[in-house]
Parts: sequence; C-alpha cells; structure tokens
Amino acid sequence: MSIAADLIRGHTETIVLSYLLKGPSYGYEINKDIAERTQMDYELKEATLYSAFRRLEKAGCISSYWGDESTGARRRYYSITSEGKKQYEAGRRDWLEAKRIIDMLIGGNNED
Amino acid sequence: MKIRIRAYLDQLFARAPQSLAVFELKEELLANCYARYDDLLNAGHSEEEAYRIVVAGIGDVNELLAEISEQAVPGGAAASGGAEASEAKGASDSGRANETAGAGGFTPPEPQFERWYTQAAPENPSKEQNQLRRILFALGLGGGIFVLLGSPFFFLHDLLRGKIAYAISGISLAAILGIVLIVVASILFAPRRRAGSQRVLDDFQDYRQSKKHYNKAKGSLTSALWLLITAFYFIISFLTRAWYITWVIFVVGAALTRLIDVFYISKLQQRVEDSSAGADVEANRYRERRELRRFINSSLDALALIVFIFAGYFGGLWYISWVAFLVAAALKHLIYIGFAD
Repeated sequence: MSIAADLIRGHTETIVLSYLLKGPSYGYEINKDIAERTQMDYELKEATLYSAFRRLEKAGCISSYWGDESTGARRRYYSITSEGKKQYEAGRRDWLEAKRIIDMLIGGNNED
Repeated sequence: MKIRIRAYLDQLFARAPQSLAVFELKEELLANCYARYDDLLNAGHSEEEAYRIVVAGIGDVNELLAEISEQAVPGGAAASGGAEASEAKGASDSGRANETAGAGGFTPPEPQFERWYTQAAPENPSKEQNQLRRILFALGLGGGIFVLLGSPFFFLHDLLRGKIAYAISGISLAAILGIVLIVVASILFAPRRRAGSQRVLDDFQDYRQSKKHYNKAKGSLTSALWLLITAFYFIISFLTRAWYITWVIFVVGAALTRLIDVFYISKLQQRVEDSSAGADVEANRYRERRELRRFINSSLDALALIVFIFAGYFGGLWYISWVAFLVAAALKHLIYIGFAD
C-alpha cells in the first residue's frame, strides 16, 4: 500500500487539477471527494494537499481567494486557470503513457 | 474539542516564521479541519475519535512550511491575486453551471479581493505616519544615547577641576534623562510591523495578540522599574555616601524584575483560562513555574553575593564567606528537583 501511495502522491497535482475542472473548491471538499471516490482506499494527508496547492499556485495553474463564511474559520477557495487546464492535460497524458508502458511490462508476464 | 484541534495546530506552527503566508495556511488548515471534524461527528463518531482522525489526517507540515518560507512574498501574492480575480469569477460561474447539473451541491462565494483591500487599508497606518514615527523614534533614540554616553564629557571640565560631587550629580541626572528619552521613544514611536495579517484575524491571533500585549506591558514595566532602581541608587548613594556597598541595589533590582515576569505570566494564564480560548494552558502553566523558579534563583544569587560581601567586608571572613555561593547553588538544585514534578 505504501508504494502505491507513493506512486499516487506523485500525481497529486493532476488529481487536484482534475477536481478543480468542475469548478472552484476548497481543501476539505477535495479531500472528501478523494476519500469517497476511492472508498477510503487512499487518504491524502492535508499537508500533501496544501503543498500541491502552493506549488500549483506558484506555477500559475490555480488561483485562490478567501470565502466569506460568517461562522468559524474562513475557507480558501481555489480555481483553475487556463494554464492549469493545459497542465492537467499534460499530466493526464503522462499518466496514460506511464500506465500503458507499465501495463505492457508488468501485465505482459502474467498473460504468458 | 475544537479548541484541541486549534491547540494542536498552534503547536505544529509554533516554530514557523510569523509571515502572512503562514497565517493564511494555518487559517486554511483550521477551516478544513473543523469541517472534517463536524462531518465526522455527523457520521456518528465520538468527539475523541473525530479529534484523533482529524489530527492523524494532517500529516507532516514541516516540508510545507519550508516551501512557504522560501516563497513568502505577501505583497506579490496579493497583486497577482487581484489580477486573477476576474478569471476566478468566470471559472466560478461556469463551475456553478456544472455543479447544478452534477451531484456536488456547494456554492462557492464570489472572490473578495476588492473588499478586503479597501477595508484593510484604513486600519494600517499610512506611509507618512510611519515615516513620522520613524523620524521621531530615531530622534528620541539618538538624543537619548547622546545624552547618556556624552554625560561624562559634559562634566569633564568640572571633574578635572575637582568639583567631583557636582560633576557626578550632573552626570547621573544626564544619564537618567537619556534613559527616559530612550524609553519614551521606544514606547511611543518604535516602528511597528505593518499589520498585513488583518485579513486573517481570528481567535488564533486574538490569543497571540494578548500574548504580545502582555509582553509589551511587561517590557514597559521592566524599563520603568530599572529607571526607578537607578534613581534610587543615586539618591541613596548621595545621601549615605556608602558608594562601596550601594551597588547591591542593582543585584536586588535584578531579582525584582524577575518578579514582574512571574506576575505577567500568571496574568496571561488567568486570561487564557477565563476566555477558554487557551490553546496551551498547560504550556503556560509550565512557563509560569519556570518564571517563578527563575525569580527564586536570581534571588538566591543576590542573597549569596550579599552574604559573601558582608561577611567578608564586615566580618573579615573572606577566607570562608565564598561558601555562600556553594550553598546557593545547592539550594537552586534542590528547587529545580522540587519544580520538576
């Protein structure tokens, strides 16, 4: 599991961008979505998520703004930029390519 | 229980640099942790369980903090944020269209950039005001140091002509004036850090602020006390002419200033407990004990020194009176053990 988790962590940025394609969101929403869609198989640590946010924002892939929650602490929302959409496509292509090659190399042996 | 989450974050961020980026990260983390915590409670977890799950989900923030401190440029972030506000708005509109079709169901609020900045501006001192403060601070500090260090030279002439009492009283008066100038300038005009973090004000900072407030009050009180001690020293010395021993006043004074530390820490502690906003009540209690111990330690040192001098000078017991220091050291050690539990 830990090796798989490492593998997935390498794609955190693409995962975040893919969620933001649907519209602006904040950290917990994204994390909850990941947990629900993977049926709790994969848990993204908050710290990992926020460093992805920071890197993406620095690279101009996402922009952020504060919400105006009247109660409790304020949420920070992120939305994807056009640069981010390009980055998402590139990340997705990278993953599909890697998946294709790894499937050929690892899956191929089992078929024999 | 939410207080515990905040206390945990407080502790995680205890060593982080105090920049806007770090405050914002903390605010963001806190909001998300609260949301998760509420969800877990709604899902039927106990408060304790929910707290554990939330804390376990945070992970290691050290790397993240390191990244932030590398790139922290609050002004730059604000400018680029403003430029992208319109884009964010567009994205949020299209996002909402998708969202009503899909199953998500959250409604992101509109970007708030313009509002923050127009609101935050009046709260910060203007540039001109800052400049004026800086000039006054420099004048006060410079004047104070000049009078303080220059005082012996002003009266050098009298000193050389043998008017020693006159010269010394002049020098000490000038020294007191210099100290007063420096203290007043520091209290009134010391440049303050611009409150760029206004926009992320929440109870976190309330707590920090009260701590800062107490520290400042403590600083002023300590300087005032030193001023009094110095004045007292000169008055007593001139009256009694016992210059050879009156310096002991400073030794006692050092112990007294420790008492101020104890007083302020316990006051802060009280405030923290009253408002129950206290993240680290426990840590504060520890601090209180530490300050008390320091006070006792410096009192013991002072006492030992006084005993050493008095026994030596008046009793002629120089050959043995140094044992006072050994006794003091032993007592300090015993107290340390006593405070440990």
